[in-house]
Amino acid sequence: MRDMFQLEFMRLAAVAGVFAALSLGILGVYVVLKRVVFVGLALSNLATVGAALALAAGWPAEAGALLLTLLGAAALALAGTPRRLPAESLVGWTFAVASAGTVLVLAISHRADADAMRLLFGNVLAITAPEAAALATVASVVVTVHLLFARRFVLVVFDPETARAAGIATGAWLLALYVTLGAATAAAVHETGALLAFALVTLPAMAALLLGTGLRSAFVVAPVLAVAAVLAGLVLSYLLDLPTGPLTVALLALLVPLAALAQRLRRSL
Amino acid sequence: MKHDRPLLAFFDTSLGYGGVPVLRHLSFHICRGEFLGIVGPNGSGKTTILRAILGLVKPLHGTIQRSATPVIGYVPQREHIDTIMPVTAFEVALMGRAGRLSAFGRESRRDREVARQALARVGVAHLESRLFRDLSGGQQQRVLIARALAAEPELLVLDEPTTGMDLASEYSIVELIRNLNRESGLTVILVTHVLPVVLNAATTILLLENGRILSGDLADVLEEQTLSSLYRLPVRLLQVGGRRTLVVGAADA
Repeated sequence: MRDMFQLEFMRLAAVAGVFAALSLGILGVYVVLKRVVFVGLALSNLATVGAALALAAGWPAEAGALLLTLLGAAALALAGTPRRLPAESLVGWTFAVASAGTVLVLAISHRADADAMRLLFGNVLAITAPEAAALATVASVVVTVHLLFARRFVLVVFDPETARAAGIATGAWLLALYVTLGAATAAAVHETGALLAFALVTLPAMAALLLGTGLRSAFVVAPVLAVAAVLAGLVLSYLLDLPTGPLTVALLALLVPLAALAQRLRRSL
Repeated sequence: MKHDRPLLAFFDTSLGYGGVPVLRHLSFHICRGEFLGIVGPNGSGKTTILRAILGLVKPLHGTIQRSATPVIGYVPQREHIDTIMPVTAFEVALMGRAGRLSAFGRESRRDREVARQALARVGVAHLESRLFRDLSGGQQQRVLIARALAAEPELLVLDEPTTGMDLASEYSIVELIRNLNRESGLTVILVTHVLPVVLNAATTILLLENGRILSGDLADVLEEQTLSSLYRLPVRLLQVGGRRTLVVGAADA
């Protein structure tokens, strides 16, 4: 295993994976508790179409992913939906548009062909040092914001009406929550792929909430599980010669029934 | 404990959304130490009045005067809170301090002490480490009242605090709120769609029914003729064991 991490691409993959896992693992707790799991999916697909558009235009993929995801996150946080439709219908619309848009942009643009597979499925092993640094920077900012303002985010998610009555700008904090989610997702998607980014924002939080006894523990356990799964995915994919992203998603998915089982066992003891 | 200085007063106020009035010509006030019951059926505009009291809805017409800016402790409808979040009773009570802290602020030892005292004041100090979602409806309601008290409010505003409760829980919650008003002098506004909830607790009342608005001292508004006319049903007001009770409908032959 020591040999494995002497390879530069493995070290970079580990650094990128750990930072993506930390930021998305923490944000996932809000995403799951706020019952907006598919916002994570819609944002990761927006990041993908943003990157595809940027590549087609000859711009850096990360810039396109970040710009479109931030715009989408702000729109989802601020836009109301018609009274006849549930709120998640807008999320579904966004997902459908983003998914179809990615394929169409890649089909039309020949410049994007070379990067198409990486864009759609991600390849954390292909990450470069500047890309890893950019991801680490964005993830660090997101984590810092959430460490500093955790109380506000929790109150606004738990009981927005009372928060508003206490004079707290609920709309601004929800916007901040969605924008940080958008930034963390956009930073991760180009390196990990939409599927792994979505898995990181939902599955560790689900497992942590099943395992934990309180909110504080969920905010610690979710990123720890995410980091552990990412590192285990890297090691196993190296040893078994399997694709890293899907293997990591499989490990993350396995955490959920294991956590449910552990909770059942704990209750029966 | 009644004082005559109005804490909050509505003067010929129209309230609504998107420029469309829901309520017109609303005039009432609440003085320090009073207990105002706002009673009306669903859709009568109770929530709109409550949102105006909280400053979340601006009047379309008329004015709402406040004595300085009173600190309001707000208890929302329990059903509006998504209990999926694994927060303890103490963490919920501590949220009551949020309005007193800046966005960067951390709760001090005093904040934690105030939250614990609030839990003790409503009789649930022993539940502080239990998850809010694991508590009974009555216990959850007490924790939400504790959170409002943790704000050290001058005015306690409660939205349908007894909805979905059994008779014993409803009685104990109303008694708790009544004691906070009578013994601590806390000004209370309680919104409910069930008149008997405030019948023996409120000192003043605002009744919304069939497009009509009646307000004033409880004793003045609670007259059989007034209530019968308002509800368009025969209403009898009885005293049983020193407490008021209502009998609705014509007596059986």
